[in-house]
Amino acid sequence: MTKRGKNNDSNDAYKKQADALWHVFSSVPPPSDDLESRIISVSTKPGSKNKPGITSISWVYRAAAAIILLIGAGMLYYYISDSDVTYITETSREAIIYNTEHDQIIDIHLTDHIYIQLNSQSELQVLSYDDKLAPRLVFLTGEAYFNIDKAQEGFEIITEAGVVQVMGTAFNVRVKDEEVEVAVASGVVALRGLPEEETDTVVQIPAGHKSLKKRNAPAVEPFPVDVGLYLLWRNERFVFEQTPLHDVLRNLERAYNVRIDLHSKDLGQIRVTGEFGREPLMQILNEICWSANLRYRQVDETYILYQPD
Amino acid sequence: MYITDVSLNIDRITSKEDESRIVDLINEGNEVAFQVLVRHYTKRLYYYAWQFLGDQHIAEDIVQDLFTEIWIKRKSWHPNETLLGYLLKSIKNRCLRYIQKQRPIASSSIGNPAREQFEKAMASVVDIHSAARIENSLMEQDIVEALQDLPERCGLIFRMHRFEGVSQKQIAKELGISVKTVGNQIQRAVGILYKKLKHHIE
Repeated sequence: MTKRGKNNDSNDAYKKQADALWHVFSSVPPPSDDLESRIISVSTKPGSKNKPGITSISWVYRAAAAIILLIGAGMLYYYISDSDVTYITETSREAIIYNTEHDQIIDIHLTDHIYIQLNSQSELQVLSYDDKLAPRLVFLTGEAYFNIDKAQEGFEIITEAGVVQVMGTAFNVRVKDEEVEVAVASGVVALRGLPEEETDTVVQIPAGHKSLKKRNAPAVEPFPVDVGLYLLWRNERFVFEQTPLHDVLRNLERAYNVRIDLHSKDLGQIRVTGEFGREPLMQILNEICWSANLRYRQVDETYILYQPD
Repeated sequence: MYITDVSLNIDRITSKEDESRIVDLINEGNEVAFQVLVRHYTKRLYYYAWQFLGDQHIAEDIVQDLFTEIWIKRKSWHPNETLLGYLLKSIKNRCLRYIQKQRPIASSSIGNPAREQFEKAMASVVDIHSAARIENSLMEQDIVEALQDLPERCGLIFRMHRFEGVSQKQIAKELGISVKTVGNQIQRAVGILYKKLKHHIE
């Protein structure tokens, strides 16, 4: 065997080992996304250590304000926070807040007739009027999938950009940058403005269609879409076979509710083959970068893939 | 205050001059310099701590505590070696101290510095995997042990490359070695780890 042949063999063996090792190392958890900011907060507020989650508490107040507005009651609210679920209670009503972190998806069975799946980095606040009555109003930021029986007519999802009214159906709602996007898998959903908005147009979105609505603007006329694409984030597994990187990243963006850019467009043509479970996004990106000889960096909420020098 | 007067042009720590400037600025209470320090080293220290503890939350706490202490004692903070060397050593000591505290015997050494020193030394040679053993799966234990068995420098390069996604070129620049050496060290690490973890792969 020539020297060159030997080198190639050892390179192949190394590559094989490196690839195999990756799967083993995927169980090493990356640090929390907010670890650096938690540490830095000690310098910006001398003498006081900020605990994580402080921002979500201020959101709780905002959400509480919105609900007060909706139900037209000016009662005193306070919150009791323990782990992921926050309760806002007042004399006769109770709201439960579900928070999801990065890479976390939770299933919520509100009643036998209402099933909700909450995507990562989202919050859902459920206001129940009375023990005997099923919840009718929820307040959503982020993204969630709803599956609601016909028996639950009148169920409404309040977002910062509009109200989604349910008529017995399965659909996906995503709220981002003051815009609500509704993609309907089955049944019909109505989308209208918030009570304080001046617009009073209502659009009905049939199955296989989607509509969008910005705050203080009428909803876009529903148009047909591949609803499956909007439900990708619910998948337990992603399977890519010779899939262009561009498409892989679009899937991951939807699934993880983040933005992923390519430093140069050409990289989008790289083919990716692989199978991933619901592991943390950074692990998946690491794996893709490892096999495609790319790197990524995170700038605020955006991940950017690039070619090393 | 100095904070508003000092213009800080450093956003990465890539040379000895950067290091001493960062330390000087932190001594003066410059928050931006502290942020640069934190952003530059947090991940590196976290993965290092993880390999002792095999636990995300404890590893994060230990990294956070170290930086907090640096900030609180910023006026008298004078690491007398390279920043990375100092930080890694501090993390290692803290991890060992933590592991030691998990053992009943450790309580007897509280308030007895000589005894504490002794047990710290013992912990590093006897069984530093005990905390991980209780909490983690067999595979995680094996990963923890395999990473610990890498030579110090080799482990550092492997972690930077694998977990932090730092390019070989950048690692070479930061550690002042050639890209070829970095490549060799990674290859060496992969070889060692593969042997140790083979049974989880096949």
